[in-house]
Amino acid sequence: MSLLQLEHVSHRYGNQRFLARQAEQTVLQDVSLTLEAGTCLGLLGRSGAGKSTLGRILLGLERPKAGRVLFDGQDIYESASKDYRKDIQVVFQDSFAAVNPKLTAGQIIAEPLTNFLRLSPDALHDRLGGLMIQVGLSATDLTKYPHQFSGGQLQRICIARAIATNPKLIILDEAVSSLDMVNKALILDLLRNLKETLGLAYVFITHDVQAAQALSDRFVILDQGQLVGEYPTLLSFSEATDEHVQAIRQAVLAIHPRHRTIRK
Amino acid sequence: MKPVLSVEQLTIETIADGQPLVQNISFQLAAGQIVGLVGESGCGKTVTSLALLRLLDEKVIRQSGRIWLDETDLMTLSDRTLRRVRGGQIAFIMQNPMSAFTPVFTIGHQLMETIRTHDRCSKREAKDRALEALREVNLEQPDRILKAYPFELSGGMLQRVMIALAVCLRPHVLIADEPTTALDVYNQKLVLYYLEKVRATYDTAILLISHDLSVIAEMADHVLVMRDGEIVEQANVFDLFDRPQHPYTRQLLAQHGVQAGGMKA
Repeated sequence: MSLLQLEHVSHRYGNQRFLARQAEQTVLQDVSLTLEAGTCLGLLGRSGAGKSTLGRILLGLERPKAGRVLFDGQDIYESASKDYRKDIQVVFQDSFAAVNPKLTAGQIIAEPLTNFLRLSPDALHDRLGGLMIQVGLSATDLTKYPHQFSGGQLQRICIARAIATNPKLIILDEAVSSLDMVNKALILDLLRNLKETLGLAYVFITHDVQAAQALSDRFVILDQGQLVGEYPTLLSFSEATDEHVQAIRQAVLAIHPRHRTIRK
Repeated sequence: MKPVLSVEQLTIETIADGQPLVQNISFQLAAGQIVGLVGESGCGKTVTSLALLRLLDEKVIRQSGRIWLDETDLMTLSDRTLRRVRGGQIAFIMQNPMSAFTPVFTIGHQLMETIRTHDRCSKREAKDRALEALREVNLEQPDRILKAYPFELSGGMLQRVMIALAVCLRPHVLIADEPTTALDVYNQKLVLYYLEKVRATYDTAILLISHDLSVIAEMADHVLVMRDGEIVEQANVFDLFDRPQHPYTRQLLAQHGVQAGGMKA
């Protein structure tokens, strides 16, 4: 049994403009895919392709208009059990917007723990310290507030919060897209390590092909709400020549000025 | 070639504790030249760009040095005169197009306001110039965009509107601070393409600030590498990528996937 299974998921948004009636817009159309435990699926596509909507549907935050989302064999929108809420976590792009500025790092990371697990104060404290070390920070940082961290450090706090409940799946919604190149490499390393040591599965939503290739085992391309390409391995993705992969590759900028195309 | 913008020994520090943010940096921009400023988050790139327009709060931050725009030292100008320079002779493109526009006015209102603040002209003339500017960045249906509010446009479209806005007054210098960081890769390439078009058409000098060495590789003639408020190395873009001198530049290039002396396979 696959960890996650999407069956013919479709979704629409009503185009709500004040006092104006407009046609509904289809954002996802008949999307089916599966994800095995401990693997990473790279979900690529341009802005507006429906990537983040799909992410929200996987998190149980938005019931699709049609289709089923099975997690561990259970339909998350139909079954009475809400265990999936502990088992599926998320890391967003904008770490500053993803935390409460009035809480300390410790309080931020403790939130899912107090929601889902009953830990004694001592056990909670130990767990928090352990999580900080797991994401490459120090237990002394637990008393700091979000504004005292850099973007890269705060993203580590968000990752610590995501892994706190020992989830099986983490949705990474553009989780490295706004980091500079140094931090991006460091966070990708951290995510790769956590995946291996904790056996995590990821859905890595991104428009950054290089980042996707650094972490993912399988790739899909979403375009205007439809899955237009599926590549079961890194090799099949890097050797694919269809128009969708081409479009992504052509948008990638030159690494070296010798190969630049915008300025000649 | 005579530089359009010449920065001499610019130093920026906090007044409260004298903490240096930028230390003694000097560089020049010539007409039609793109100079890339590259470095990690927090190294002083944005504070430098704000200092060039004297936009830093002078109660909190002290800056010294000289900033020559053609024959004028911007450090000596009054606030009133500076306001004419900003937007008129030096334009600024910011990282996040979503927060750079006022949410409560239409795009057309904001474009026409900018044009009429600097050049005396009728509303009608301002509107025509705004439409013309939007056409230059290939935005479809420019008359509809004039009537739109910022939230109705995508980030990529807004960033193209921002280029139109920056360029409609034909500035000599354009400062672009991470202009594509908030965009997806498709829109990134499009926005860079229009920046290059502006440079080629109007011979605009561009200071392109980015942490992304690919953006620098695509666009720059000359590169400044900044670390902890200091320029550790500056060189022609090809020399910098092929023969980086400073260990920090080598480290950045290695992380970027370029080994000194050639490309990694």
